[in-house]
Amino acid sequence: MIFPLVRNKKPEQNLRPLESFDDSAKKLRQIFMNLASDIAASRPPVLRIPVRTASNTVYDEQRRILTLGERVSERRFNDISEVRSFMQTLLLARGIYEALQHDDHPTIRDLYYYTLHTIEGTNIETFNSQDESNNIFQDIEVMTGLLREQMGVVAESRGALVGEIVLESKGNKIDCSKFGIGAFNIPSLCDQIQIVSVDADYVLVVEKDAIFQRLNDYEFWRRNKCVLITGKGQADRATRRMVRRLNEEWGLPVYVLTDADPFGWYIYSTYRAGSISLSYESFRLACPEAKFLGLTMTDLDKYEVPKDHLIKANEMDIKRAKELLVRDPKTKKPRYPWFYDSKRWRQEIHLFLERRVKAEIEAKSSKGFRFLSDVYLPEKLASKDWIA
Amino acid sequence: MVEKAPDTGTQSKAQKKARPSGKTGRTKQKSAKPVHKELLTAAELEARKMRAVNPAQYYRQNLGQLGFGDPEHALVQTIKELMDNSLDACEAMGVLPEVTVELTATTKKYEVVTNKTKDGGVRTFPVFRLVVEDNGCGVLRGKVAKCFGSVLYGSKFFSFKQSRGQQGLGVHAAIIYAQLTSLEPAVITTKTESDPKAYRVVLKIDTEKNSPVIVSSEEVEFSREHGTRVELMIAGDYTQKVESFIKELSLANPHADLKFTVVAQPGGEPKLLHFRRANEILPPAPKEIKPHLLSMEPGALLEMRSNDTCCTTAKQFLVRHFVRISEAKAEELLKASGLKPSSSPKEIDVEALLKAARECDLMRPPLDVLSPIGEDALRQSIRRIYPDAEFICTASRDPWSYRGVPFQIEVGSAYGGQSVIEDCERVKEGVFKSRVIRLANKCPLIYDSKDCLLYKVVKEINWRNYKLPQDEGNLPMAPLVIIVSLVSTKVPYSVPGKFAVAYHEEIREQLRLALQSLGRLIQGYISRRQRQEHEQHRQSIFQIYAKEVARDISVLTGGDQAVIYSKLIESIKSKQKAKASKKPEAQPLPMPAPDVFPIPPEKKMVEGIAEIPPPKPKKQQFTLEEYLR
Repeated sequence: MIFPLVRNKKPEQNLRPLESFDDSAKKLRQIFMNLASDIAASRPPVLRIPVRTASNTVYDEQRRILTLGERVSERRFNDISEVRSFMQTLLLARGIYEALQHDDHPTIRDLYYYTLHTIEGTNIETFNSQDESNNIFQDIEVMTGLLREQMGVVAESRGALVGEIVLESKGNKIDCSKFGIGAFNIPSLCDQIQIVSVDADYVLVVEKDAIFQRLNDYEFWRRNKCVLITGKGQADRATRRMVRRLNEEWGLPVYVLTDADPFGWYIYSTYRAGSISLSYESFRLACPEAKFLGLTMTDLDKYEVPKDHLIKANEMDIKRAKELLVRDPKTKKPRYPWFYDSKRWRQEIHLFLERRVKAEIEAKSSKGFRFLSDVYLPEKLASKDWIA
Repeated sequence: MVEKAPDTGTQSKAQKKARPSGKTGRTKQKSAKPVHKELLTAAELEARKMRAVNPAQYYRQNLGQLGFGDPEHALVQTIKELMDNSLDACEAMGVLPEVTVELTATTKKYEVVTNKTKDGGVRTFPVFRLVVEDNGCGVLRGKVAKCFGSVLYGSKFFSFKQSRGQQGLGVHAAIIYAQLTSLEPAVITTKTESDPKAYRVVLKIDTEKNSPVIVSSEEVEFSREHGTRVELMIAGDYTQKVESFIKELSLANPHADLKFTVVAQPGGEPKLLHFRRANEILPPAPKEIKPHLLSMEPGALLEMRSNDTCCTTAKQFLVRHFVRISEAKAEELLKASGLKPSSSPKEIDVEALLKAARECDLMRPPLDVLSPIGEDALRQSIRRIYPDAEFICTASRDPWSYRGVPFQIEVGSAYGGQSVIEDCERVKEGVFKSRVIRLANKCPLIYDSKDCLLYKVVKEINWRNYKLPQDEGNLPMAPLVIIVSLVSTKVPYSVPGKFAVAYHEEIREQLRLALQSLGRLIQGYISRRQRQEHEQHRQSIFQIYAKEVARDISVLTGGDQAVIYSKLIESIKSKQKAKASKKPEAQPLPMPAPDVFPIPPEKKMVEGIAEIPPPKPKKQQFTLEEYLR
């Protein structure tokens, strides 16, 4: 192999124990016990909820991830403008708690319907829409520090994984090398799965499902000793969590392959440092070690992608690209420091803004259908031509 | 009932029956005397018909002008005239009035051809026995017959002071009406304080001669030490207006004890209304003053001049007979009208003198001659009539004058409460139109509100400025009774016998100002109430949510739901207490629900606004919906 290999095979007894929902239930209960004792002691009932806005999202330079700032809002029961959301928070928390107790794993939509009712003696509904309920749900996540997955609340998931990797779920072993042309669908509660063994050198994350399927078809992962993962566009939480676990628990390096356009780069950014809207989850989802493999703007020259295979960038692309280098108007700090502080990234983005063209991964096929898997990827990896 | 019969046969029968009964025909026969068939010129014919008309005759034929137009009006008018006299008699003596009125329907009927239906018909009204008894000064034996028996005889006509009856026609018109409709004489029993026995006279009025016809007279026992009892048999149409009248009269006379018993149908159950006095304070006696020159009509002045026998000079005439005319002023006036002060009064040119009076700056008449109800008394009086009113307030103006006549305006209102709602017109569910009670010299004006200045000015006010909904130029749409009282030495009625005050700019202005003050008081109350409702909304919102939150916390922690609930409720109150101690806010009044106005079980009555600090503007004003959405 071109790439220096480290076999990753941990003995089974050293496996990280699964997170227990009982712990979550205890933690949830503890938080509300504190509230109850405040009430019993005639202290005004207050919920302290970290602020989830963009202005309270900061880059943690040590951990190299986006995370929530220190601002905390208070939600008081005895404030007329907050009493309703106070009630909703408690109501939803109760719903979650009851689900945890019964070992149920509802979706947030389930929870919305579970908690939706008309308040006794009025014609007022507890929630006016699911959006309202979803918002409160996020409040509970940040307030308790328990993520939805930890509370057993299921979200849609669409990520897929394939490779020499054995998982265990509900007592069943799943060998992810035996799906043929299919792949393992990463479930929402991916922390409820144990990674039993991994025989791979790295993780390759591809943006597009189509590329994933082609690489899988060629069994790229078998030939190159890697785990192949796709988030099918912007990655969902479970996919990101899986990438993070493979990196964290098994020490696998992570490489990300996307289109050569600002949206692709932003997808990489999400894998790496997290997103602003879910910045409170970055500590579990972001993988700051993830490296950007391609496509870069310079790749387009290097691999001589024909001019007519390039696509003209639209307004949104330009706007997005500029955003990647933007500074926060208040703090004057760059919003995405991993782009802004990287000389290489600045070059790439400036090149894009100069030429105003983008390219899809499929453009590589102009040199033959196997160019991507047989030439481009191995070459890039061997020459360490990635952006860290 | 007859007029509505669908069968034409019975109707024509009824008409036939009605004609020979002759009660209404009597006046017609007299007015259409047979004409002698002689050859005479038209002028001679007319001259033969001409003769002097005395006031009794005139009024007999024009009872409508005095308020006796139809049985409904006549019944109210009769009661009004008798009660006016009673109250005035008590006032003259300086005693707290105790007036009883008994109205009993008899089996006797009064039938009249009516034009109220398309093809006419006969309407039948019961004849009522009306007894009005008071504890007033009584009438001297020698004067009884003259007093009650000849029209325009009485003490009021010549005096220039505030009193209820003004023309001195009322009781006579009532007696004439009674004998016209029932053929029955009036029975008057009266006793003065010094007379050991009462004197009873049964009399009729001979309208041809304008003199009393005494049917019988005797000495009788009387239950009171002094007082007068008048019994009349009159045809009437008993309506709700009678009760309204008594009620409003009692409103205007808080010191009077009024007892009203009515039997509306022959042999029916008697109904008693008893308005006990709201206070025991006699209103100040009105003072008599000389007329003001500006209040004189030229004709009246001319008559005064011609009848004057006591003055030798014009100057003396002016100084002696008119108010606010000093010697110097009299000289100035006479000079302006082209006369020497020493000229004889007969030489006075009436029109020139009045012109001079208008042009020279005459002082207003003395204003302390009136006897207003008084704000305190009016408040007590309103509370007596509307015991469950949510808010009662009054406002008054200092006395003022129009055309040389002193007058004073007082207004009051009762807002909310079942008794107020019952008196208001219900527009639709939960929406009420205010009611105006008009009082002139402490006597209610029942009819003709559309023509009355007092009513018009109430509609003129923009009540929306005072948080009362109102259609432009209409009465406010609120459960509200507005009492408007005018006292004056001469109430300017638009027509005698009409219940309407004529337009005078000075009265309009004073009334407007008084109503605006009243509006501000009402606004203050409504604002306070809105704040409380707002606070109640807040409370109810907290309560709604506290229940939910208590259950959730109970599930989450295993704590006792009821305890958590009570603690949560406590947390709201403690916050409010903390707030209240920081900035003093209006004392919360126990208030009923917003839409309807039920009587709250224990309610602190708030009168006036002195004890309540001015409202502080709230930072945020939410509606319930806004909180919840």
